[in-house]
Amino acid sequence: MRRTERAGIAASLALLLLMAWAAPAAAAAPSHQAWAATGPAAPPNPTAGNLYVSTVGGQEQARAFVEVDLAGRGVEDVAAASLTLTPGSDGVVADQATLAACTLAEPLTADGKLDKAPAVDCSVRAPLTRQADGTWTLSLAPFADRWSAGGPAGVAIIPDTDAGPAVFTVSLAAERTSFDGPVAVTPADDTSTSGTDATPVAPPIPSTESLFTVDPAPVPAPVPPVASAPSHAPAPSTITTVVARRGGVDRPPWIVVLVPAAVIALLLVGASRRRPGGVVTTGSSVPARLVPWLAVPLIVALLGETTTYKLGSVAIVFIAAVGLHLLVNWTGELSLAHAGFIGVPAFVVAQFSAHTGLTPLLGLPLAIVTGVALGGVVGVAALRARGLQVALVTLAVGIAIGQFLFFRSWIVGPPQGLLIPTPSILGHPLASSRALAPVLVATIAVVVLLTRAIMRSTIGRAMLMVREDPDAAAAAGVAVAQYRALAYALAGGFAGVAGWSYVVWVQQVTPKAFPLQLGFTYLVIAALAGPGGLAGVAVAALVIQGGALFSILPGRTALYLGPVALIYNVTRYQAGINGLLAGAASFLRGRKGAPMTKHHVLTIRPLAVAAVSAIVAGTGAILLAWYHMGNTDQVWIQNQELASGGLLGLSLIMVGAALLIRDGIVRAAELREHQQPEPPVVEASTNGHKPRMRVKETV
Amino acid sequence: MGAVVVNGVFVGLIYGLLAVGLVVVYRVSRIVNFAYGETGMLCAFVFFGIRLHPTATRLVDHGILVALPAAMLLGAGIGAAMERIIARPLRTNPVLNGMVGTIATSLLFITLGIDLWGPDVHVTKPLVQGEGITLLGLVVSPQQLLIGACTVAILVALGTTYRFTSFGLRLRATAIDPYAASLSGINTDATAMGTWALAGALSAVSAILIAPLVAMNVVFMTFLALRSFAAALLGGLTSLVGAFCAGLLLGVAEGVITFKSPVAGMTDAVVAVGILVLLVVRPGGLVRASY
Repeated sequence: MRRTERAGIAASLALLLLMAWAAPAAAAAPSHQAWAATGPAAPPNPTAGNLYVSTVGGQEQARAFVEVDLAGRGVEDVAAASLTLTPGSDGVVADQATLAACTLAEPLTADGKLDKAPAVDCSVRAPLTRQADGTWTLSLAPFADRWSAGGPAGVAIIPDTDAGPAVFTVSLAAERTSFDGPVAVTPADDTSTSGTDATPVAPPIPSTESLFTVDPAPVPAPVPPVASAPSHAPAPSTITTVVARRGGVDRPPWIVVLVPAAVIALLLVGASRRRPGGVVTTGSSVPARLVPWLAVPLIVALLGETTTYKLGSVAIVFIAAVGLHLLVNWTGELSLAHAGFIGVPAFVVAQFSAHTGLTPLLGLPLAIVTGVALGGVVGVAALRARGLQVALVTLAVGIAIGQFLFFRSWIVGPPQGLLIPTPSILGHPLASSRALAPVLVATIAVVVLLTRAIMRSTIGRAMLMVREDPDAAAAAGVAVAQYRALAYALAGGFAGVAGWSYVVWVQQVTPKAFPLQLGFTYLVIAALAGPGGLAGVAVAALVIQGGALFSILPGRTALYLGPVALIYNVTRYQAGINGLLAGAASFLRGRKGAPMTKHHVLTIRPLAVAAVSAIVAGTGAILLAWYHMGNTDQVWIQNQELASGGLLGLSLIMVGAALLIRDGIVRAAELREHQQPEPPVVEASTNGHKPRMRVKETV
Repeated sequence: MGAVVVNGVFVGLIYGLLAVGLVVVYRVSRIVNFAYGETGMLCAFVFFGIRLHPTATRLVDHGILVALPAAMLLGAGIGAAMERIIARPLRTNPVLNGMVGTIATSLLFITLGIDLWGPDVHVTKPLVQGEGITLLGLVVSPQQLLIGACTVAILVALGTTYRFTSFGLRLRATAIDPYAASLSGINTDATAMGTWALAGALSAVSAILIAPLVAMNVVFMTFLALRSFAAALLGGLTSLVGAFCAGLLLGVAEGVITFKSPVAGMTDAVVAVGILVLLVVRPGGLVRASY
């Protein structure tokens, strides 16, 4: 490991620490959340951990209650705060619902489903705003005076039957409810996006479902907006002001960052001691090593809750894909049971946490042991049989996990799901994705460092030899069968870490989250990544999983493009994304195709750099436009983004391509000058026939 | 119990029929064709699309004379295309790449099927009508008898082709050593493509035979194919008879296990454990083919 990289990781974690210290309020959760049935047609099969607001035929059937712990906040703080509620997956017509909030008249005493609804005072009343990403926000300004005067600081969320449709059920995931401190509050007169304006496009909580699930739910086509003037509520910025937070009473979850930081520091110290004065090789430059690490806290700081959640899902897919990458691209084996390898440890962690009441964070060793054990079972077959048969064994094991284990209640829990406690560290709850982000970042850092250590060790070299030629590897003294089995165990271990991260991140596990086809998705990611390092895996995970989550690709294109790209990849271009990245890097350095003279080796060609940056910027513009399209339900914004971003991106790409061609011509001319100082004799090669070029001249 | 075994035999016939098609491809290209079931699915939809189409039924029962060749041609075309696109470039590469390629193809076919025909169950029409016979207290439908007869006929025809025809000889030579076969004047490319086409047509016939017995939607072959992979593996991957017998065994075992302990997924667990144990004890599978 290079010193610059160490500095990058240290700086990254320091920044995360600073953020966690500066923004503790983001992690503040309401003290009590509950719901109660107020009519005969309340949701009959409620999911544990969700709150329900329901109306049937204009008659209220269920209402939800949220109480917050003001913790000494003043009137101004409360007036500037807002409550964000994230929808659960089992709502009905939830995207057209209209909700309102009244203040509580008596305090809440319990969580979950209440038998008797507490008294509510509707003289103080405010509407909830539905954001473009599906979450509901409630500005707490109307309630500030009342609460500060000593009343119970809570709201009842009731269906606003005057304004909305007569039948809907809104399900709210209690785990994701957050009380946001001073934020840019949406003005009260801008809260009219509910009802007829909202189009049913924005998905509920995104799940990390497989891109290739057989379940043929197509992406719903955007419904054209109503003829009324399209008003679009600006999403409130959740960037918190440091000054406002510092006065807060909540202590920051500094330990969240400090513990992983200590672990990594130990790793770093160990690594640097083992290799004193490592040989300096020409690799990527200093910025290239620093930037990725420094970008992480920046990204977390800039993003909102939903986007952080989605990116975290991509990160979990990345962790799982790393294990498969070691198996497929380093050892040349295949696993079709990866979904089960992730799912079973996830359920083990969930069971452990639900039964003991401890935070799921503590389940990590359990998850790793389970994953390694599962991988080891398949590895036993790898000790004896050849690659192809072992691959079929993994298929059989995957089916057995999906059809047998995932139907046993002693592993998946009761039908309504396991109630997993909120992850916490030393009693400090981490209630939002942004609060959990440092945990995930630290996990990824450890996974990346560990994987690279494996790749550079004897194990990695032996794996590569096994992949290239098992017979030659055996002749060279590599225990082929053992390394194959080890690779399966490693893949299981990484899958276990991914399962643990899934439980920590999503806090809801169902067997549906790990279908057999999900294993194929991971295979796609590993195959697209190609042999090499982890950069390709990260890009592939972002393309496949991120593409599915952010709906970058329109409609069902991804379902066709994925397999076609995979077929092309395995048959024609096996280097994958890693090969592309390596090619781009060497192209930028101007090595490829240049004559082997000294002054040409490391020249950076400005024309090529400009061309490549234009193409990258163009692609970025298109992706950004697509991202915005995927995250809004307003059709006119979608069209606008597509037109502006798409056209800009396309033109940039075309300019870049033109520059590239020009660069190629210039380089070819240079090459000719270098190689052929004297013009060759033309007549000798034509051998009496007409030279071919003449034909063109006569045309 | 007798009825359970008889029923299991007929389920096993289906597994065996599919496993035989997998072995045909495996012998020549060393690739397990994961898209085998999906190829058949596409063909079955085309078959019943033509057969149940109003203009076809007006020809009274001659619809089958159009539909069956069309479906088989489609299957053969898909098979040949897969050989050209996936199997041939991979001849010198690790076999696992070929498997990934066929997995991708199967995903592509399922997506295509959903877009063309939707996810719902489609109407089929029995290929044969009749009362059926009673065997050990169990009524065996004529459809099941047809499957049995066709499976045996296909097995005999394949065996005869492999053993006694010039094409079969070329097939076997290509399977044993493609390089030596090409040296002795065999067009190995054409042979491999012919085999894939043959297997494609076979998958079409299998799917058409099976479809009236099950609910025909776009994934009706996928789950049957998953079980037949296990059968092919148990049978050693290279032996037609081995694969067929393993399929029969699996069908009967499934019937008995479901009868004895009606727990969801018990069969899958037993199959997984059985395969693990078998591969540790006898890595080559139950039957070694002698070509």
